[in-house]
Amino acid sequence: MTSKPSPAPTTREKRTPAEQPPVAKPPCDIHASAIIAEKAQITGTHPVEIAEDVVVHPYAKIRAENGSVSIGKGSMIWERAVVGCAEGSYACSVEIGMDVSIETGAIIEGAAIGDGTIVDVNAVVERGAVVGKWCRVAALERVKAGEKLEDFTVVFGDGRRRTDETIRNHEDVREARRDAQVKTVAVMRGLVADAKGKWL
Amino acid sequence: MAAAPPYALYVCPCSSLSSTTLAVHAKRASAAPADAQADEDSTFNSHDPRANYALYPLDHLLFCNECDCIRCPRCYTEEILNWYCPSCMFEVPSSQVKNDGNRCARNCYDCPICTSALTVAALPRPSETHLNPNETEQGRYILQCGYCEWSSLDQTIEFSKPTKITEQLAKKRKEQRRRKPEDKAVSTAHGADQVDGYENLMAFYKEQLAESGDASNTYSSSPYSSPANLAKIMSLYGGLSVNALKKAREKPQPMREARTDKEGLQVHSLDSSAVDEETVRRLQAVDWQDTPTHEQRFSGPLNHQAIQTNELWPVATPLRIRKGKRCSVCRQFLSRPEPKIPNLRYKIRLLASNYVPRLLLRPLNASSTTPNPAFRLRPNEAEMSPLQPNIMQQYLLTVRNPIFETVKITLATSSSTPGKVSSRVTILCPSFTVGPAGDVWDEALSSSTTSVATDDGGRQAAMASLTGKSTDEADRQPEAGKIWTRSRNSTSIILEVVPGALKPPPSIVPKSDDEMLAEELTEDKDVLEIPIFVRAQWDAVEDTDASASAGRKHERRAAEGEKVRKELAYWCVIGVGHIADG
Repeated sequence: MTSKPSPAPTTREKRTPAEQPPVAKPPCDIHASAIIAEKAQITGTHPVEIAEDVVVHPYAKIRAENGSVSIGKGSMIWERAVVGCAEGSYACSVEIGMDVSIETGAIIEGAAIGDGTIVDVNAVVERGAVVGKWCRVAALERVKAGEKLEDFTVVFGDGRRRTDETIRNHEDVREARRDAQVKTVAVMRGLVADAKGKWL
Repeated sequence: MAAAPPYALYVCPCSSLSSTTLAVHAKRASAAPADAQADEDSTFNSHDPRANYALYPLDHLLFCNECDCIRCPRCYTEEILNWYCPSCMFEVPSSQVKNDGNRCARNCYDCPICTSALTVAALPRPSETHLNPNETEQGRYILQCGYCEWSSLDQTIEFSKPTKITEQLAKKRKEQRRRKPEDKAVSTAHGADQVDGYENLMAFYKEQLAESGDASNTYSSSPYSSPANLAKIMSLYGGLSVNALKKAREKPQPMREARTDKEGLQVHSLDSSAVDEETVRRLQAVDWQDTPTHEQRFSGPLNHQAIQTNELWPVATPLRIRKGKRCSVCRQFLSRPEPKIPNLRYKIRLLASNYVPRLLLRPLNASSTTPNPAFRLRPNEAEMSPLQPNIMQQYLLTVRNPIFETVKITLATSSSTPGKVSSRVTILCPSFTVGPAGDVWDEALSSSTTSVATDDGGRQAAMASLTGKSTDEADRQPEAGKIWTRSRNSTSIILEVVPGALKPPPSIVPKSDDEMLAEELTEDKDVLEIPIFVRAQWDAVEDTDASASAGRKHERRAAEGEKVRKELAYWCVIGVGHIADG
C-alpha cells in the first residue's frame, strides 16, 4: 500500500520566514488605553505615538516610513484608512489632533489635522496640507498638497469650501460633537479586539 | 450607430406614420393592409437619415399585446400616476400637489447649500439643567445637513419640537420678517416677497368671498339653504316667486380690491434708486463666495431675494412622480408600477423582449468566442477586425424565441443591401421553426429523450467538447435549406455575406465633380447593415378578447379547436461590422 503524496504546499506555506520581506517595526509609543486591532498595520522606522482612547480599526494602516506619526487623544482610524506616507524620498510627518475621525478608506498624508476634524469616507489629504480645527473633508473630496485650511472649514461638493458657522459660533454644538466622539470610542472599545501588544 | 457591431436594432412600425394617423389606421381597417403591404414590399434602408428615428435596441421597446405591435417611445404616451416625496416616501394626493407647490408639506427639507436631505437634530441641554430637566422647558431642535454641515442655526432658527417643522418654520419666518423691516422694504421694491404677498391676498379674498356669500345667503347654516327646499317652501307660502329670488341671488355683489399692504397690495415704484443703493451697499460687504448661486436662489420661493448665502432658508423637498406608459392607439397600459410607493416592482410591464423573437449574429468560424452583447461592458471591448470587401464571410444568425409556443420564422432580405455600398447577402435557410421558451429545467429533464441529440447545445455538446469527439462539427459544411444548430428555444442558421467595396474600381475616364461628391462616404456609411424582414407565426390559445377582435389583420381563426393563428412581422437591422477601406 503506497502512501499518499503530501498535498502541494500553497503559496503562503512555500515561503519560509527568511524569504518573507522584512517588516520594519517602528518604535511605538502606544498609550495603555488605546486599542489597536490585530489586523491593523503599523510600518516604517520613524516613531509612532498613539495617545489615550485612540481606536485603530482592522486593516487600517499607519505608515511611518518617511516621517513620524502621532495620533491625538480620542481619535479614531477606521478600516482601510491610511495615515502617513510610505512612498517618496522626502520627510513627511503626520500629526493628528484630538477627537479626529478618519473614516473608512481615507488617506492622510498631510502635515497636521486639527482637533475635532472629520475626514470622510475615501477623502484624501495630500502631503504637506494642514487642516485646521473642527473642519470636515466630505466624502471623496481632496485637500491639495501644501494647502492650509482655516479652522471650521468644510470641503464639499467637488472642491467647494465654506465656513461652518454653526460649529464656530456655538460652543454647545462643539461639545455635542465631542461627546458623540467619546461615546463612539466607548462603543468601539467593546467591539474591536485589542492587539497592541505586538507593537510594543 | 452607437453600438459596436455585431448588433441588432429593431424597427418600430410607427416610423412611417404620425401619431394622428396611427389612430386613423387603427379605425380604418381597409387602409392598414395596403400600407402594410407597401412597407413589406419596400426594403428598409438603414442608412436613410430618418432611419435613426425608427431603430431601437430590443431592450428599449415595449409591446402592446392588444394591438400585437411593437411600441417605441414615440408611440406610447406617459401619464403621471402618483406624486411622492423621495425623502419620507409618502404619497401626496394630486389635489394637494399644487397647493403645496410640488413640494413635501411634511417634515422633509433639503439643504439650501448642497441640496442633500436635512435631518432634525436635538441640541444638548445646558449642563446645569442636564440632570434636572424642567417639565415646562421645551427642547431645542435644529435642521442639520450631514454633508456640508449647514444647520438652521445659521439662520438662528431653533425648533421647540421635532415634528411639524413646516408650521414652525412659517412661524419663525413671520417673526423674523417682523424683526427686520428694512429687509422687507428691499424685497418689496424688487418685485415683492411673493410668499407674503400671496398669503395676504389669499386671506383678503377669502374674507371678501365669505362676506359676499353671507350677504346673498342669510340662511347658509339652516336647512333652507338648499334651493330645492327653498323653492318648495316658497311655493307653499306664496310671496316672492322662486325666479325672482334666484335673480336677486344671482345679482353680483361688488367686491372691493386690496387697498393696503396688509391686504396684499404691493405698489411698484419706478424710482427704485434708494433700494438699489441699499442692495449694492449690502453686496459690497460680502465676498463672492458668500453670494448665492442661481441654483440656490431658485431652489425655493423663500430664497429668491437672498443676497448672502446665510440668508438662504431650508428648501422643502420637491416631490417626484411615477409614470405609467399607455399605448397611444388602444390606450392600454404597457408599463405601470405598483401603486404602493416603496414597492419598486411593476404591476404591468410588457417588454418587447418577452414577445418579439431576438436575433443575434456572430461569425461562424470565429477564432475567439464573442461574448454575448448583453454582457458587454464597453462598446469597444470586442472590437472586430474590419470586413474585407468582395470576400465571402459566413455568419451564424440565431433566432431566440421568448414565447411559450413553437414559432415558425420566415426571414427575408434583399439580395443586396441598400445604401451607397451594396453588399450581397444570402440566407441559406430562410424558413424554420423555433421551439418554445420554458423553464430551463424542462430542457435538462427532457434531454435524454430529445431527438436532435447531436445538434442541441445541451449536455451532449458539453460532453463532446470535453472529450474532444467533435470531429463531425469541424468537418461540417453549411448547406442551403438546412438549419445549423437548434436548442430548446433558439435556432441558428447560416448567413453568407459578401461585403461591397467602399470605392468603385479605378477608371480611366475622368469623373465629374458631382460623381466625386456622390462617391464620398458620410459618417457610418462604411458600416455593413443588413435589413431583415422577420415574420413569426404561431398558434396561440384563444382568449375571450380574441373573438371580439376577430377582424384584425394579425389574427384569423384556425380551423381546428380554439387555437388562433397569430402573426408578427417586423424589420430588424443587423450591424455586421465596418468594411475595410480599399
